Amino acid sequence: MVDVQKIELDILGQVCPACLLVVLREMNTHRKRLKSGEAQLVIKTDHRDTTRTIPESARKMGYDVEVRNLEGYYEITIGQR
Amino acid sequence: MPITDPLLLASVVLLLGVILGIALFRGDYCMVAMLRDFFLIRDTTLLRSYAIYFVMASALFHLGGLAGLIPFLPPPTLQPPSLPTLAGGFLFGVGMVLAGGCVVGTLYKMAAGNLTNWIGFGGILAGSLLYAEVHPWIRRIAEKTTFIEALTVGQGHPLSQTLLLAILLAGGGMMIGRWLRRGELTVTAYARGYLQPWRVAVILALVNFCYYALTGSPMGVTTAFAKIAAYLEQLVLPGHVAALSYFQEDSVVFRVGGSLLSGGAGPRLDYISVTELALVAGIFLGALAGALYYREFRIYGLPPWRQGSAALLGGMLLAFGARLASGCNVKFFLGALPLLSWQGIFFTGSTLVGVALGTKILIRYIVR
Repeated sequence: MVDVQKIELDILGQVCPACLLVVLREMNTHRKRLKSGEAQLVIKTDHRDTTRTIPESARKMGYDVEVRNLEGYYEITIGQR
Repeated sequence: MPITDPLLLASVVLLLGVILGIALFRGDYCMVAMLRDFFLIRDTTLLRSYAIYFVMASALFHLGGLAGLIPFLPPPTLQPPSLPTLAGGFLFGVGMVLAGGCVVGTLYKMAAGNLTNWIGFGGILAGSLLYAEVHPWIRRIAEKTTFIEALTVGQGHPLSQTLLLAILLAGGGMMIGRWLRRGELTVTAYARGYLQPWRVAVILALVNFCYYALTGSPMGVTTAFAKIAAYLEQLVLPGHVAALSYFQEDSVVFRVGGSLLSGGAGPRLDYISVTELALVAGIFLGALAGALYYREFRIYGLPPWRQGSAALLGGMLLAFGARLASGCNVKFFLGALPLLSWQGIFFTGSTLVGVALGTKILIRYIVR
């Protein structure tokens, strides 16, 4: 398996809806590499509602999304499988 | 029947607040997101849950009135709409988007340790104090610019009001039925202990009904915030607080049986302390319990400076707006709208304009 580059995005403690807006912007910036599977976007967030809005928006754009419950926060991975 | 014993009333309201705090935290039920995300990404998930809230609350309030469970229809906290209702709604809308939370949203997010919302809370206290300085002047404008004398749509015409309600509730019920059949009410979220928005809406309607039946009016919270601000200002400038008419007057006065109940924003123990303040304390405690239970209570340090400043300014704007309009989204969206109050309708209309503008400011200047 080829190494997938991880683009990390830490939005812990940021005000709503910064989370969603920043993620949408990053998805646009790295669109080519995310679509080709070269890179994955890994987001750390403590906003409960973003575990609804980010996966929903990303799936609509055709990405695969995985959400992990970590200690006290959530890690959302966006990319292509 | 309303409870008149202060200690009993405060305890029951505190309990209602705790239930609400847990539900709001678990569902991350943000009424700012509800409106903002429509303008931002055309997301109507949370708005749909509001439709459920509206139908349920409106039916409960009016049927409760018929059954004698709801003592006052309309409640003593409603006034006729005026220019300050419109201006207040607009500032409130802009402010809550910038602050990232309405008055209760700010509370349950503070309880989870979010410092941005603590900054927003500071802004809310400051905005309340600012309003106290101009209160007499604003109330004179309100008296002169009252544009509809009735409190609710169809007041004094019971037949037309019943008909209007029947149409609204039947229409709303059919819409909800369709969402149910298509499975559109259940959303996917991965948060621990996530509560579906429609469930939060149902809990909200039941809690507000109980609150209305027991206290005489639907829920309100912002006068309690002004009261907290007044207590704090009194520590520093007691003479000034004593001289401000806003802190001397009662914002609500009504009679239940033989007892006269009254309360206001002043730094004293009164009806607002045992209702609104107890509710605020309950919501905070409930959300804190939720955050601790799901192990999500965590303090992440200060937000980027743009967001922090926006939260402070937003808090001030929303509090000042709420004071101009004599209420916030809790009083108007949750209490007044299901009662078809004119004040609620005009406040909501101008709040939507404010939210649209706030969302533009947010995209352009705050989150970059």
